[in-house]
Amino acid sequence: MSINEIRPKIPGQRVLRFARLVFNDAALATILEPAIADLQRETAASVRGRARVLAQVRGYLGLWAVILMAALVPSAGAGAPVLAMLLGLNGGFLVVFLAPILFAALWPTFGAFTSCAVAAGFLFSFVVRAWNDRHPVTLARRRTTGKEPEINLSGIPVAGDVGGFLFVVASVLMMFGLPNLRGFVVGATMAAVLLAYGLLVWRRRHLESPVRRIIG
Amino acid sequence: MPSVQSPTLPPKERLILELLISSGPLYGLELVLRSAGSLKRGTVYVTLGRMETKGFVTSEQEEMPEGAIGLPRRRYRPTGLGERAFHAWSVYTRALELEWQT
Repeated sequence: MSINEIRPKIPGQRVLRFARLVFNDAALATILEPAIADLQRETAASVRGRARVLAQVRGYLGLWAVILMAALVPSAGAGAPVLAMLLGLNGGFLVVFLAPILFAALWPTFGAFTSCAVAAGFLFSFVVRAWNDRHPVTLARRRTTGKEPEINLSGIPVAGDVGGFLFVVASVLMMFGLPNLRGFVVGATMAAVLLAYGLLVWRRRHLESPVRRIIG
Repeated sequence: MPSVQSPTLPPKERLILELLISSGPLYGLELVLRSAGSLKRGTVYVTLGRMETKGFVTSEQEEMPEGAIGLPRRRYRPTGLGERAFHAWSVYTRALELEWQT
């Protein structure tokens, strides 16, 4: 007798695992878990066969509507984590979306090197994690500052004077020195201007002071 | 002159309070089924979460029977503030209707 025959399949378990990755505890407790619990109870209460399938379809459609609303709508009370990530409100998390675009643009010149570096990076991270699990750190611990470490180019101090301007110009010229990247630089600059304008408009409408006073 | 925003009770919140006051504590799905299509599965939990933040409803997890599987459901009931807000809004809307009729 297999495990699947002993333990009945509980609907919504995968969705719950996904939701735990995206939402915080408060949103899970007040919005997502009640929806999943009702789906599970409705499915369990329905008789087997067509009625059960229909109950599951209705339940899952409603559940995904809840998840989409909670993930994307700021007024839903769950913090709209996906919208915040897409708009770059969580800083470095946007790199997850930008990195593949940069990789595609760099492919003609640095494709093989980048692929090897990414593969080596993944391998190295797994090795380091496995070693760390066996030899946990007991002395040196990271100070809890409330802010997770992240790669954020906006955090690099660049003075807003001639030196900073030259830094930007030199960076752009270096990119133009590689013919394969010229189109990418132009496209990225235009996209950045559009994104910056969109962020400015969105933040002016949604953020409260003191950020609003600074950028408004 | 600072703008003063009048308090409002959105129709869905009003309906949920009405159902909870008339029927007693209910689960989210029961609210959907009793609303005759006015409340949707995709929005009722978000609305209930918002109402809980406002203090209009309170909720508690059900006691799971022995051997039960899955997550415990959440049952909602109106708070005193929610009931007062609903009655005040009903009086307000009735008064407005009378004004318009005369």
